[in-house]
Amino acid sequence: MIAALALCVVAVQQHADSAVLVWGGDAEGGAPFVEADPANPSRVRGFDVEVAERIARGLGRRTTRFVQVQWSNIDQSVERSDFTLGLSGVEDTPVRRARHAVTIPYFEFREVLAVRRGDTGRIRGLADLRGRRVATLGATIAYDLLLAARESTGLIPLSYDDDVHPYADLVAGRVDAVLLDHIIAQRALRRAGGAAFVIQAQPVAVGHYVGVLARTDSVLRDSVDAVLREAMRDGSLEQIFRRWEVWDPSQMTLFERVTRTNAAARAAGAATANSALAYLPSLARAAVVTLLLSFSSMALAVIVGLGVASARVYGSAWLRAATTVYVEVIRGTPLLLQLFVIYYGLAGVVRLPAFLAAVLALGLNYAAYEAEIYRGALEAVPRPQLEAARTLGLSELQILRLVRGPQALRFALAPMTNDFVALLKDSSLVSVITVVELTKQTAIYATNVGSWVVPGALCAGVYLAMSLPLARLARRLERRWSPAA
Amino acid sequence: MSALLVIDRLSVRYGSRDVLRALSLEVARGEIVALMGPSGVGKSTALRVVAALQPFEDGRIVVDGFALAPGPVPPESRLVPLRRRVGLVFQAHALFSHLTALDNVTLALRHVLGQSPIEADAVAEQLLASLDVGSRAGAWPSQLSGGEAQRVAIARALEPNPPLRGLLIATHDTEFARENADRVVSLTV
Repeated sequence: MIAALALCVVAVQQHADSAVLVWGGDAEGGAPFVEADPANPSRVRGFDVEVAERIARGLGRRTTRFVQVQWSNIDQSVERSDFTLGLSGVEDTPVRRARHAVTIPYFEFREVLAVRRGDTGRIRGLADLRGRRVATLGATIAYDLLLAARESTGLIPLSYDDDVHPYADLVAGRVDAVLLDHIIAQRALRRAGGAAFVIQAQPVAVGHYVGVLARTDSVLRDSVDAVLREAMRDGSLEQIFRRWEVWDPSQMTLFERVTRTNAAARAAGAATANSALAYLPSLARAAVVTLLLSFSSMALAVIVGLGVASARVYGSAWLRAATTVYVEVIRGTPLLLQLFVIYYGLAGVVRLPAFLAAVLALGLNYAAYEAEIYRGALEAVPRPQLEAARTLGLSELQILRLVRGPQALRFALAPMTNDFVALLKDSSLVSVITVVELTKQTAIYATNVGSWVVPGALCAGVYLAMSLPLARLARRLERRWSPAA
Repeated sequence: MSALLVIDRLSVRYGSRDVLRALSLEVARGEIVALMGPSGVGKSTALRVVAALQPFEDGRIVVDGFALAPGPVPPESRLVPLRRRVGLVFQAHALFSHLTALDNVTLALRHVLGQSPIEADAVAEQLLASLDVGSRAGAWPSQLSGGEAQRVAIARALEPNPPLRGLLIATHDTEFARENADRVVSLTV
């Protein structure tokens, strides 16, 4: 019965799909690609929206339906059939061509460097950035360019999850340059008031936006290509780009080249995806970052947690109230929010390096949980034990150090191990403030090879290799400390 | 000779319940006193008040010249002279569960009296042996029988050598109390 109903739903859906072009993109990427319409936030607008509509018309579809997807997941989603066509500043790369059905390029963009006004004369290309920090979006051609340049020029690539904060950090002095598509750079410059930084005229590289379809959809892809060529010839694509103020003469050159040659760029598909082996060193480096981050954060959490717990157990009424507020505020708000506040929110007061900000946010967050564990453990020590210690003439500090602390530690050990394993995994959140740790590196790897299977398994393996020995160590300590029954 | 312990019209209340009403008692140096009575009459409470583990409402207590007044228990820092004078064995022994029998006895020797570990170990081993639990020095409290645990607890209370000791063994078993009080006396004479 249920199966029949599900079949009906699927059938209806498929019938509806034949009249509707379902396409996916990331509205978080914003204008002029795709953004929520300020007049009606339930709709999207942007040049990619209009390109999708033009394609739908050319294919004889009645209408379009937009599916929101994170930019870095467009390829995976299109293969999962979440939508038919992915569009949203999707870049033309050999790996993408090898793994999916990719349309002809419909827009040519330039990778441009943005620098602070004072550096205009000093930093003109990647070669001028030795030892300097350069920001970009993760899993893009620009990021690959920076990674390649790291070897040759010694610059320091920083990957961001969005295209707003790289420019904010450029202005704030956290990075020395931003390498991104000229459309994104120009938009950021307009947003920042036009004088906050300078976009170098000489492009570092040139790339193209394409549409991406599932590998098995190559027939539909050929139809989409035909519609795009038609739109280039009849001027409708030019009109769209002009309306969104992204038209320039290089688009005309692209159009002429693309309409002349059929499937010109397809030969590029020969490039094979890198084998898992090639990614192992970078995964190992990222695992070290995760470990360093987790151990430093846990050390901070334990120290602050002990202080807060002692204040809650022994402190004056005022101190108890203050530490209670700390614990409740930290526990009651998302760690992600705390990361943003410490890294970006405090940037006006103190400009913390990303790693330090990550350790602070994770450490202070976990300190609240640790404090509660220690407080509970301290209060779980039976009162007669403390009274016996008192009658022996031990001072309060000695009692804490020699009797209450050691006994509480045993109660705290299991929940502490639990917390540390949780911290190990929560450390993946810090990729939002440009720290490339294990999960982020895996996501970059997965985007590059266009699949999550091998990267996901490798990443899970590394996390387990880090957390299992911890659990073992904790069990051993517990056994050693617990007096034999 | 002045009394080692003076309890004068001691009153203790738990909420609205009178636990002790005007208890008066004097104990001379070298004297052995047993507080006897059915459950709930306040034997343990009297001992806890003398050891400044809980406050009392009315009366006066003087231990070898150190006076306790009604009201909240003073902070530990002001009780140092009292702690040197009173040893207490708890009904449930309250041995430190994370320390061996020997370490239970040496804790105060080392950290209150400042003895070296070797010195403290020697003293404690001798004392445990004299209480017939010398072979149990390395055992954890959870491995001791009730009787063994009580002997270790007695050793721990005797160690800092307080003048007021055998007195503060609270037990339901009067036979046992007398027996142990004798032992304690014979040890300390």
